[in-house]
Amino acid sequence: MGLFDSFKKKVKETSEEINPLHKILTDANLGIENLQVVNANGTVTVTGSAQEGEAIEKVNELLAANGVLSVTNNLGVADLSHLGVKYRVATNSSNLNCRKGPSTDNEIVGKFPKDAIVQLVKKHNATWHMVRNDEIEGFCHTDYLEQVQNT
Amino acid sequence: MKKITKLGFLALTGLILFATSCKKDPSAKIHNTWKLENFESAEADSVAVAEIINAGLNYTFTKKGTYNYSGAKTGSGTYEINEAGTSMTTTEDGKTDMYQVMLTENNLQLTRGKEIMKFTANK
Repeated sequence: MGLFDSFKKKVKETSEEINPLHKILTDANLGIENLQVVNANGTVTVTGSAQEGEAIEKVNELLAANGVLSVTNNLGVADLSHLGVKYRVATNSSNLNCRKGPSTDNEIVGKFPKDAIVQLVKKHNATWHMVRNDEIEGFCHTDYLEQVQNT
Repeated sequence: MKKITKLGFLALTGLILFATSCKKDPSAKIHNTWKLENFESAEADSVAVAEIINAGLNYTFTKKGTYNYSGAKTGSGTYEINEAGTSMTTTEDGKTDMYQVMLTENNLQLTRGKEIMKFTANK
């Protein structure tokens, strides 16, 4: 590693030494990038970018299990658009609803036709992914998304 | 008269060559020991950075193209800086990084993207 990366490694080690909660979250391998854990005035503030939305909920569970009563969870779900992951809409015959949020309670913002190719934006959880095409962006149920091999 | 002019010309040429040969590259200012004063990075835990800086971390860049650091962390590597003292590459454990450099007698600043390391010269 170069001069900067060597220093950043030391920062990470120091962070883990002075903040055991950081180490707990790191060891859990939640796939969170740029994780920062600051414990001040009885409140633990967590920031970073999670690969999957479920990691954000897992952080709250882990902190609670370690006796943290007050958490400000500022973790965001990473935008994975740059990966170029594509899905085929795998409905039987109907269109696939694209919703504003990750549940059927959210309003429908558009519909993808059967066999349409959409691009992954974010993985909210195992059940709901944010995807888009040139016209629509929103959340779709993963039961109806079949990953297309990158060529 | 012609001989005197010729001698004068030779003397002037010699003086210019001497002056030029003595001129230091701007990059030579880096040959010093530098105390880390700040590290700006969105990724780094600011509390941990402050902890390290308070513990002290000094980087020494030698004329031989090597650097080492001691204090809160120890290590070493090699570096190359351009003559103008504006860009530098460092290699440590086989990995090379490039930085933009701002260098004066008393201050050194290395920048890589949005990350900045600031140093002051140890006198």
